[in-house]
Amino acid sequence: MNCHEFHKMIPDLLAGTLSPEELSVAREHLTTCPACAEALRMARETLRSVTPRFEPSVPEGLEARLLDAVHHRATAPQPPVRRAPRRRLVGLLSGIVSAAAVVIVALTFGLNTPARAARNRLTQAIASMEGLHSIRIELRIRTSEAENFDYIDPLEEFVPHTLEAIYTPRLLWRVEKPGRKALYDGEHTYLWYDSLNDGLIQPYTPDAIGMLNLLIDPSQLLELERQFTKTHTGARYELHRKAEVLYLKVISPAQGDFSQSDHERNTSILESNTRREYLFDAESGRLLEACVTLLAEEGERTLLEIGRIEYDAPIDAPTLTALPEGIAWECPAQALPSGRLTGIGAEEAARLILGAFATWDNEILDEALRNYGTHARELLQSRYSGATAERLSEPVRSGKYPGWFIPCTLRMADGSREKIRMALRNDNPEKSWVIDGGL
Amino acid sequence: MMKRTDTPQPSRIAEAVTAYHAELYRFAALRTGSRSDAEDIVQETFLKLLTASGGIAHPRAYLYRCVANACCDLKRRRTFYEPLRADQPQDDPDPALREEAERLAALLDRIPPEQAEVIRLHTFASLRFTEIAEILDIPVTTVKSRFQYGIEKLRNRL
Repeated sequence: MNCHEFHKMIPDLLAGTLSPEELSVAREHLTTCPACAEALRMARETLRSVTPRFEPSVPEGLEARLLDAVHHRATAPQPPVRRAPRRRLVGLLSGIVSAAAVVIVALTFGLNTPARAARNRLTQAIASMEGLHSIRIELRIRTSEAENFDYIDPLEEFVPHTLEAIYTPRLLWRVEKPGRKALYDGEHTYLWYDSLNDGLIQPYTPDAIGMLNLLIDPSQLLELERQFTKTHTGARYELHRKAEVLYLKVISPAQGDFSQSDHERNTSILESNTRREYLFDAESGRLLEACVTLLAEEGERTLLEIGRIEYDAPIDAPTLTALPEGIAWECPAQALPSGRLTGIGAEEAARLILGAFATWDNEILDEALRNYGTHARELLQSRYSGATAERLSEPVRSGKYPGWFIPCTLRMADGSREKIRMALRNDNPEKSWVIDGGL
Repeated sequence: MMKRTDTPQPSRIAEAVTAYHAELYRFAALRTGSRSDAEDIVQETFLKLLTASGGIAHPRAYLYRCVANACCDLKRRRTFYEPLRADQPQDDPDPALREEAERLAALLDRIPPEQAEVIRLHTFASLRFTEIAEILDIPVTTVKSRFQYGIEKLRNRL
């Protein structure tokens, strides 16, 4: 055996996988070659340095927990991640995630020390945000540019968002993403769409920006998370600290009722199984970064990342509230409903609305589509005028959506068929049914 | 143990849990330095079997591959929170494990990842070269050469 052949045997010598014959030949070479003996000694020493000094103990009950998890998943399978159905064009009233809409769900895990530690951390973070003058937040969300600000889709690319707010002497804010923008000038909420040149002016409407309303003042988001630590949402908590940074991890199951339909699962953060991660400055207590990840059978997908928060950012009010040129502004509140869609159930409302498609009955459709701008209504009319409903299924609820979903099949004017899942809601002062998406 | 099927039955997965959970957990714990992360990763790996399709010829190799990938993903994700990973968290339930994991990672991060992975599978999980070849789906000769080059590079950089 020469030195080259010996070197090729070193991995097997270290791993102890040589046959007795090979071992004997190798040993013989070692007795005559100090260089190879030294090379082997060094290799053994190196290998020892990357061999764990101890074997981690296996936690008590791990096997039973894993078997339970497999049994539970096998008997109650969750639906796969799917491309969420679009609520096309406008979803003005789609504020699914708001502090007020939080529903306490069934107790699945008891409160424990990590939950209390998380709550204390959140309480301190909330307190640290008192007295702020302004804020600027840069974040990115997996969503569609044209969709409402609540909408998420794990299969979409990231869309950058910026959010700016001035708190004193009065609240002003502006939220932008490519395709859709909103601002509040202290009196009205303005919402506009780049592609349509349509805009809506309304009295103060936090729904206009959906879940991002929680970030106008991030202490609202932290307060919501803090409430969750008390309301047994089934979440697990972990808190770590390193010198100047605190890291909070929340593993949370999807919230909402999916017993009738899975339609809304994975369409908003609260309606998904998620891991929510927060990074705080240990000294000031302020939130530095945050990240929300969808946890699904197929794997994980980051849905939202807050990459930068600038506290007391230099923002001037005129720039913040400047409106764009060339937008056709409408005030949907002035279009009083005809009353044809009040005092009835969701299914009957759906029948009336779909029946109105055939002749494009403006009396009904102005009421049903009153949250859509002029251009959007024109687009819808050109598409659906003359359509008739071939099949209408029973309305179902899903997740935390406050309205109903009505699956139906339409025979279009050109004879083709289109399946839609109309979203209807009537949680407005007039209790009048409006279309909230699905077209 | 499990035979080649399109989607393993829950009873087969239960057998796999009993047979492999301890070694997979130890491997993940040494990779992540966190008992809770290791448990999460091992659980998700077994749950993946419920939806696995296309046939699993070597369940143990498949499970190791899933765990190793999940550990890499976790590490990548943690770069977002890098400042936190460099020192000991106050609430760490097992600082000795975390310190050992960080010591090993600091050494193995000095060499190319594919060489580090072969060494890791050998020293963390005591796997034979033939088993590592199955897990990484590469020839045994490639496993050995990665192992040897990795040890040599490491020796030169220590």
